[in-house]
Amino acid sequence: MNVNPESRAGIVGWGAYVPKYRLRMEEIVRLWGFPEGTPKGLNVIEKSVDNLDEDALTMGYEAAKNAIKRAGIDPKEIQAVFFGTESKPYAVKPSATVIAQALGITPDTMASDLEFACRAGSEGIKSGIGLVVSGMVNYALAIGSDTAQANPGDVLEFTASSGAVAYIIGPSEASTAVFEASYTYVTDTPDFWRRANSPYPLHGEGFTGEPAYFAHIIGAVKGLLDKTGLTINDFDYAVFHQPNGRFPIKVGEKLGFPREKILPGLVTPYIGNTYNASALLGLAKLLDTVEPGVRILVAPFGSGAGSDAYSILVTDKVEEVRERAPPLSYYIDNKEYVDYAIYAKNRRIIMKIR
Amino acid sequence: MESLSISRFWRYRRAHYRLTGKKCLRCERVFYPPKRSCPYCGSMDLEDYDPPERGEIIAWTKLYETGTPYTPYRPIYLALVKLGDMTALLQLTDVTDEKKQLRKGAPVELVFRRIKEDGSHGLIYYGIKARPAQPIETQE
Ligand SMILES: [Zn+2]
Repeated sequence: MNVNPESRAGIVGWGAYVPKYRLRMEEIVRLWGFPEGTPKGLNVIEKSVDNLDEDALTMGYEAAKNAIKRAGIDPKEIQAVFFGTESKPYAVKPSATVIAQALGITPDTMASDLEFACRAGSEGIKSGIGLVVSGMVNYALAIGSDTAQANPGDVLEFTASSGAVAYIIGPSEASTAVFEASYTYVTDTPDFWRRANSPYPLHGEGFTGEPAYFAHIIGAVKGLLDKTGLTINDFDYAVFHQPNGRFPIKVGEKLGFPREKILPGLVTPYIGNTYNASALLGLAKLLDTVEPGVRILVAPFGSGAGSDAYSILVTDKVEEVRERAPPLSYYIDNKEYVDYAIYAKNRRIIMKIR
Repeated sequence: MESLSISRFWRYRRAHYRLTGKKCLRCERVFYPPKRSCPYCGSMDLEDYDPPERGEIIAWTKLYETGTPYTPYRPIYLALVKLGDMTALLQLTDVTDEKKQLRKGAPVELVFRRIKEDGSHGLIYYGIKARPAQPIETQE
């Protein structure tokens, strides 16, 4: 099985960031006249809200800083920076260069922003693996970060939230977790999109579940199992993209995973769906807490649509580096509730002429 | 900040993005913002100083009268912050409880944020601010 080239790369460091503010689901129910039980059906309690001076770039910087601290490397050793987002501060002007500059990675590096709905951060990881394994770079930094947009009053508003995650990909010998194998599965599926000048995304009715989320994650996971000969029982934990708190449990059940293997990596109920950071924050939560030696299945998903399935083996190094940066729980626990008015101001939903 | 042009901001981006100050190799004092010569002894024998990411508040104030780019952020909290050997005047963000979070000696951590924007079409200026920090045992 170690013939997979991916197995020569791994996660050298990981980092998370979630902004401080939280919006309770009741606020959205109250404002837009939803039935009281709607949030419960989504299995989400509250969602994270960024401050007015935050965006996907600033959050991505914070997560990347934590990942570099854990990796314990000189930022100059990073030779590729991939920034996966669907909420770029600029339509044209890379965020990856600002982050690379601010973290001291520039100028001898690749840097670009990637877009594939919620899956771009994962494509950054996979590209990083390829560059590391080929020997073209020593280390790659892959970031997933979003201040997720939702049309006010749309059901998407319950979950669309803000957060970031970052991974330093490097040689497997130096890694806290090794990529045993990976499998990618994409098709053209019209489940969710945002046109160039549109402020909010739209979703195809009836398309978001079965033909998009479930079909692609199951396609990627089955591809991974066929390729490796592994079975569901070989995995200690499973993390799937988390558009709400229900879908990851349901896709796990369809694949045959018991809830106990999914709940430890579930973060959406507490902070909402952070889009490009969603499943990858679930992985960060596991790396913050699990024992060395466990095998994790991770399957991010992005609309449009596609999914990557990774088999990840956690090494002894995970415990050495864990305490070099704040865990995800530091950011989840450090919270302050805001009402819909402050949320609307911070999310720039209030129109102001300037 | 208001007078900053795009080219000026670009020239000083290391100071804005990394809060890099200068350490005087003659009198050993550290200062920010960086200058060509030491404001204490005049020496030009200086080296870069990157401050630690955590520090404490020496004194703070808040402003209600602000220039146009800053009005969405009102009130603006400013603090004199001690960061290792360096002292810097920084904007504070994520302030939710003045009484608890803002006092002499209160811990702060540095964060990377938007400082201002040239309207909705112009450049976004990023830089370092400080925010009230939670104690964590995992911090080095
Ligand atoms: Zn001096």
